[in-house]
Amino acid sequence: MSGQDFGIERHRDVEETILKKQSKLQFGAGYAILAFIFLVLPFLTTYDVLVEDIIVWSLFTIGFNLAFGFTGMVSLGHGVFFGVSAFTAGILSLFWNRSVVTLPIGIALGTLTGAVVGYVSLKRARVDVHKALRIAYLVLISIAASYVTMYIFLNPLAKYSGAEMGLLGFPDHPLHVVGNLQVNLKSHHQTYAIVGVVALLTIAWLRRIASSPAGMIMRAIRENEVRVGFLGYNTFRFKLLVYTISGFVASIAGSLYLLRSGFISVDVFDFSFTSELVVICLLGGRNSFFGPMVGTAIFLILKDVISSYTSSWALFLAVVLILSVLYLPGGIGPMLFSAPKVLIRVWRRNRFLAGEVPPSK
Amino acid sequence: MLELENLNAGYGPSQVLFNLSMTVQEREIVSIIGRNGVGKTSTLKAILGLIHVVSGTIRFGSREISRLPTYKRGRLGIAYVPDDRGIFVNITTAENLRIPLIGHKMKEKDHLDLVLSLFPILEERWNQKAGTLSGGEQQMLTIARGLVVRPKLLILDEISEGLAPEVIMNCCDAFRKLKFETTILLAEQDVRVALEVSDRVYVMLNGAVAFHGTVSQVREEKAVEKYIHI
Amino acid sequence: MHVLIITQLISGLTSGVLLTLIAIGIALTFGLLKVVNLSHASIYTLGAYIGFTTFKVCGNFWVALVLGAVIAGVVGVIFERFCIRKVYEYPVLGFLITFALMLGLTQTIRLIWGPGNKLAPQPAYLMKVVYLGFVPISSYRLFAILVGIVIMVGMWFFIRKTNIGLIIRASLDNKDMVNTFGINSSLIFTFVFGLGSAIAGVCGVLGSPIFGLYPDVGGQMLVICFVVVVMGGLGSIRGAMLAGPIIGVVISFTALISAGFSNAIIFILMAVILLTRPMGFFGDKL
Repeated sequence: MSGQDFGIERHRDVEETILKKQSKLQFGAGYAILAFIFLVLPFLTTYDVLVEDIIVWSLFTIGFNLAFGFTGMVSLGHGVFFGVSAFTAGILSLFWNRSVVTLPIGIALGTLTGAVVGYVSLKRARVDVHKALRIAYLVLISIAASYVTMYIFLNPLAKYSGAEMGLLGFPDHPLHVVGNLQVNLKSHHQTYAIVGVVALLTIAWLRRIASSPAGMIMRAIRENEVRVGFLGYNTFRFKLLVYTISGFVASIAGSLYLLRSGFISVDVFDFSFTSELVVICLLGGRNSFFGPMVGTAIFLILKDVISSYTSSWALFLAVVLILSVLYLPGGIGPMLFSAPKVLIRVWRRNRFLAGEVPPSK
Repeated sequence: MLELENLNAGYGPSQVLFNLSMTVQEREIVSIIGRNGVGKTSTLKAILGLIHVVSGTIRFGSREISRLPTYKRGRLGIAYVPDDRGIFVNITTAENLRIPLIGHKMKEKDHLDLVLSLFPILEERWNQKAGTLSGGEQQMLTIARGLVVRPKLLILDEISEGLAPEVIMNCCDAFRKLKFETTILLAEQDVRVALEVSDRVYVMLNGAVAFHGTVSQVREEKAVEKYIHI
Repeated sequence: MHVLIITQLISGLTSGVLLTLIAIGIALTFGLLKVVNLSHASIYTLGAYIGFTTFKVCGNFWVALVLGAVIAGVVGVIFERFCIRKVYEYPVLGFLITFALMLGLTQTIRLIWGPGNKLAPQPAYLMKVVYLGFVPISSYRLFAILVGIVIMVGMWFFIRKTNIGLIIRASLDNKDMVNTFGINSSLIFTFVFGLGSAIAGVCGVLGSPIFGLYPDVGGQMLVICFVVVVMGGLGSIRGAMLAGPIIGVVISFTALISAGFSNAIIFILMAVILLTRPMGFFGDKL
């Protein structure tokens, strides 16, 4: 065999999906649909409480997923941030009638807690440690935080937090916004208007972040943190930032929850509350932005339906979860979202085969 | 004895071996050479079943082994000396050598003489945790572990790395003596070592075989210089 | 005063020994498979309930212990074979699936036996009180400590002196290489898992009079076991043996103040360890 130039056939497609450029139309349409779902839909259906629940929890899960699914940080502490925000706002409001101020203070405190827990969990999870150990740390420290917080709110702060009973009596007086503009908290619709707008704006903001190069970096960190470090990024600071943002969103979700239901209890600090978030993100799709929204919808609807038949909701959930991990670890969301594209492709091909249109690449 | 036919393999979505074909006859020493990243280690791993093979066949003796799990291939008499040494760091030298003997259900006494005569330093480190051995000693231990079961086929990955030249020469002598009972396939970065000890050579490029022949053929063929530096 | 100290010490050692045995199962699974096995706790619970029913049916405590171990071991093997083995090396999925298994098993237990507390099985001949000087000690606790130590010594012997133990120790370092030597490592993993589960089952039966017998008992223990594993070092058996009794005693003494205080102290302790010496006593270099 002579040594001639050996050209080897490669079948490698180079996919240019690095920064998908959406047409202006797709972009606008996306936000329009979102606005519709958030602001209009609840008023159109009799299942309005369910829809509203889904929307509010979607905020929480999408924010959580930025840290969990996109960046790979498994934390069970977000219930803590949610609760700290809600409790702070609630307790302060008992003394101080200005909800416009107490809610942001709650959010700020919740975010601060998030930053602290994130710092403590991430500082030690350095890149030279095995990935499983890094995740184990995050989980364990966040569980520790949840226990400590639960203890704090159950013991020293018991008379403020209402201990096992929870915080009742979130003020019935209206929420003063600006001048004479006020929101009657007893009015379901008015409260939802605020909640819906805040949720929409926050999600739009998160979407901007996730679609930017920062979103790519998050996913890159999840896949191979060491390499990202080689590219010159300080992965610790980046992860801390993402974690804090998700803590911020958790705190917002906490205040919104307080606004809607007027009640908060220490159960949210338990890690089983946050583990529901984890389940939802898995079901809905960890690598997709709106996946958790799909997951939230499925979860809440299933919970509603199953609970009316049997009290073994948890068993059902366990089975669903096991099947998901084994057979559908990517979640349902991505499949749903790519369905339209698949259908369009099928339709186009059909038309081609029928001799109507030349095939598009 | 060993036959690879049209092997396509890779890691997840990234393919590394493209229609690779290779044979190794009994009682010969064959080496695979080529630049970094060309697929030498992947070829060896495919033989052992440590990477995912998409299509193609691997025949050992008369058996098709590409669907067999790794441990069964080991039991057929294939020994593997990996490039990262694969030492069990928290157990002693002695225990490291015992593991393959347990796997092949052999008695210790019969088999240790060969490796201890080849690498006497191992006896000095007998009860030390393998993680405390120096790099070169670990390399020797890995080779010893491969040899101790008197395999039919010994597969070595870049053993020249980390060994002093005299030790490498010792190993090469030993391999030449051993080849009558143990066929040897090695992947080498150091072309001189490979040409020194082998009977035949495969030159790889981009995941496939670019050239193969006896050592003298390789030395004569001018075009080969494109792929390797002699 | 020192009566109190000694009783608390014994109580702490008892729970500590049991915690160690459960923690060893978790540590081994993590070391070999890099999976944090949350379902281990529910296997403890299963063992406890099997022991309860067996004792009710036949009145023999030893049979209860054995049956608890066997069934727990079998269930553990089933979990490993069908679910956990699919998620080796995928820590997030491992966490999720073991969480789901724990949830599922706990709920199934609740469905079968009901949500309330049950009376723990205790043979009459162990309900006596023994005196150590002036101090009254429950003979049951002494028995539990004894059994626990016997199992621990057995395990130590097994890991250190047998061939299979050697294979396990080698697999902790590099399981791919073990395969190349003709050893079927996945069989070994299943075996280790089964053994750990069986031990958790025995602990379940032994531990019911001490920790209580209700469906969520495993979950409560799980978190404390994690603290033991972290303190001892993820993947280290020796570490668990040392950390278990320490944690047991700490809990025992802090519980005198309040249960919530006890929990908080334990967790602060864990956070401190993670921050200052994350590899625990004997864990891998970090």
